[in-house]
Order: sequence, then structure tokens, then C-alpha cells
Amino acid sequence: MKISSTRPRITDRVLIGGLIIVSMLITSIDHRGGEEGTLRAVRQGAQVIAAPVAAVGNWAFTPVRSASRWLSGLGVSPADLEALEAQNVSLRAQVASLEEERRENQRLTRLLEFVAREGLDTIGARIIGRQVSSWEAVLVIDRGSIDGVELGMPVLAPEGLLGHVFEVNDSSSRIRLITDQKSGVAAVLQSSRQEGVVSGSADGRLTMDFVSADTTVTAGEAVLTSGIGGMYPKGLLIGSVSEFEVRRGDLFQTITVEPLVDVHAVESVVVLMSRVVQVQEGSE
Amino acid sequence: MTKGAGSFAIIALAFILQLAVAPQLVFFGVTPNIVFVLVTTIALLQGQRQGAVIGFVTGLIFDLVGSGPIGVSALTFCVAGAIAGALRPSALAESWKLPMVIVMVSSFLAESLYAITLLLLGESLHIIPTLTDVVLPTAVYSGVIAAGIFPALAYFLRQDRPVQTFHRIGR
Repeated sequence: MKISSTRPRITDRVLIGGLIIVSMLITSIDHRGGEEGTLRAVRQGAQVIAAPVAAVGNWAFTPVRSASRWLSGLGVSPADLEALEAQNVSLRAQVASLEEERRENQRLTRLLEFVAREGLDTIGARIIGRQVSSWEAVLVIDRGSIDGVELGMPVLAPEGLLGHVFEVNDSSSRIRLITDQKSGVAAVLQSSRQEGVVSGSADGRLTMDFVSADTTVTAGEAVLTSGIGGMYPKGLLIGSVSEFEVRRGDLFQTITVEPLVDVHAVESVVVLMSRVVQVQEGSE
Repeated sequence: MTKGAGSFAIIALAFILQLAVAPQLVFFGVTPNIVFVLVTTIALLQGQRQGAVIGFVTGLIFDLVGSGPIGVSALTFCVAGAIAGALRPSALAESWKLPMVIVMVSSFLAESLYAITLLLLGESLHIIPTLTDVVLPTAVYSGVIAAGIFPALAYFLRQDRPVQTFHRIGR
């Protein structure tokens, strides 16, 4: 196999070197400017053009996604069937105890009561765009500033917490999902009430940090928002513990959390029209 | 149509596909990077200088329509365009296997550089899962896309030297 490479001219080398330096400068300026930087304003302008294009694609592929989900549910292998049966037994045991439901019911009731008492608004929204690269965990919704959406508002899917609004345009907004590497959610383990921080990562894994090594953690244990920091309401379901590890000598455990929301399947969400919601939990 | 106008039209189409179609083609959490494939393919067809410039410009636009740090894709696309352009062999336009491998390797290098830059910027990232769940699958995905579009692009962009066959590589 023959590859004949051409020797680059000195002007080409200078040009390429210059472009690399400019790229690094842009990255540095953006990093220092953070979410309020000048370049982010340019990005917001770009989103005005990008959002309608993404919305058309999302609309056009909706039947394909539905068909794909339907087809994937048709074929159940014996192994899957066995796993489902085992899961069924486990679920029946949980239902029998009713403890989890009682707690969840209490929490949701308090949340609804609180929302009603405080006169907080929620607004429904449709997903019109999804992530454009493997490095991000972002969704675009069809509600923007003209609907009253503001930066930082929490976004929920029917299964649990999805993320928060990090960019608002007139008629669309972008949601940073809890699995994004820039996301961090103050959380609490349901049984032990041990607090920590659930963080996303570039590879899409969700981990809970700062949980003491001597805390008893169980696989499948629910992870909820703690409400600390005021970003998210207290008591929203984030996911469940899928793995945990205590390394010798470490102060904290390494806990992997399985998010409850299937991002690729979610079609509609609810935006909490208030950034700070505190639901006081009583005795459980 | 000039080479510049042809490249511009193809890149505009690539962005439309990236925004509208790529998010619907996610496999195992990996979103195809159609724009990157176009950049490296154009670099293979038009050379190092064009590859670097087109990589920088498209990378910057890609950053603006995405949600990550602005400038990182400009850097990685520019470097990948320069590398792919430097490997432009005279026979490349008439095969699809070598371009596929070059796009795959370029993608692997570019995604690795992106991950390293994220680490340097203090983003949360687990090295091994990032390699196995993001970098490698994205590189393979990009190579597969390149295999599909390279012959058509070669035909469209190499009008100075019409493509007769796709089996002349290595002679």
C-alpha cells in the first residue's frame, strides 16, 4: 500500500501552528469567561439557527424512534425472560413491603402540596433536539424565555430528575442533563440518609461522591436530591445505586448510580418554574 | 463549481445532517460525528493546508452549536485535518479502505486530544471508560461513515482528476 506524503511548505506550517494557537486561546478565553463569557453569547446566537434544524430532524425521526422502541420490545430472549422473572420476584417483594411507595408517596404529596401552597408553576415541554456529539449530555426543549423559562430551572421527566436549564432563547432552551460532565447534584441515599454529590462525567457515568466509607450502602438503593444548594428541589428521584466500592484507605466510597430516566426515549418533560424549591420532609 | 464552493456546500450540508440526523443515529450512547468525517475526508482530497483551515472553521462552528468548551473542537479538527491532509496520497481518491483507516485513526487521535483537553480544563472524566465507551466507538463509527461517503465525495471534489475505479490502490 503506497502513501506518498507531500512535504509541507513553511507558510503552511506557520498557518497550521497559528490556527492551533488561536484554538488554544479561544479555549482559554472561554474557560476563563465561564457561562457568562462573551463567546457564550455568540453560542446563544448560533443556537437560534441550530434549534429549528434540530427540531425538524427530531420531528422527522419520531416515527422511526417509536418503531425502533416497539421492535426492540418484541424479541425477548430466554436469558432476558429469566432476568425479568427474577426482577419480577424482587419487585413483588418490594410491593409487599410498601415501604418505598409510602415514602415516595409522602414525598411527592409534600412536593405537590408545597407547589400548590407556594403557588409555584410548572410548564410542560417537548424535546425538539438532542446531543450533537458524544461528549455532551444535552437536550433542547420547545419552551424559552417567552414562556417564562429561566436559567437554572430544574427539569423533570416522569421517571425522575433530568437536569436543569443552562441556556435560554426566545422559544427554545437547552437542558444540561445530570449525566453531563458539568453537572453536580446535591444528593442523599434514601435508606442511610447519607449525603453526597452526584456528578456526571464525559463518558456518561453517574457517580455519587463524598459518601463516607463506613456508610452501609445497598445495591438498588434509591438516590434522591437533598435540596442543599437550592438548585434542585429536595426529594426528587435521581436514580439507584448500581455499584459501590470501598477502597482500602479511602475516606469515601465509589458509588455508581444508574439514572432512572432513559434520555433517548424521553419525549416530553416538565420545567419547574422556580429555581429554589424546598420540600420539608417529616418523619418517614 | 470551484473546489472552495464545493467544500462550503458539503460542509453546510454536513452541519444540517449533524444537527438533524446524527442525534437520531446514536448507538450505545455514541453520536456519529459527520462533520469530523467530512473534514478529514476533504483534507485527504485537498491537502494539509485546506484540511487544517477547514478543520479549524468547522470545529469552531461545531463548538458553537454544541455545549462543550468553545475552541476544543476547533483545535482537534484542525490537528486532525492537518494530519489527514499530510497523508494525502495520489491514489487515495480511487479507494475507500485507506481513507476509512485514516479517518478512523484521525478520529481516535482527535477524540483522545479532546478528552485530554477536557481533563486539563478540570472536567470530570474517567480515563478507561472514556476510551472504551466514547473514543474507540466514535472512531469506528467515523470510519464506517467515511467508507460510505468517501467515493461520492472523491467524485464530487476531485473533478480535476476524475475517478474511474475504486480498486487501484497500492499500484
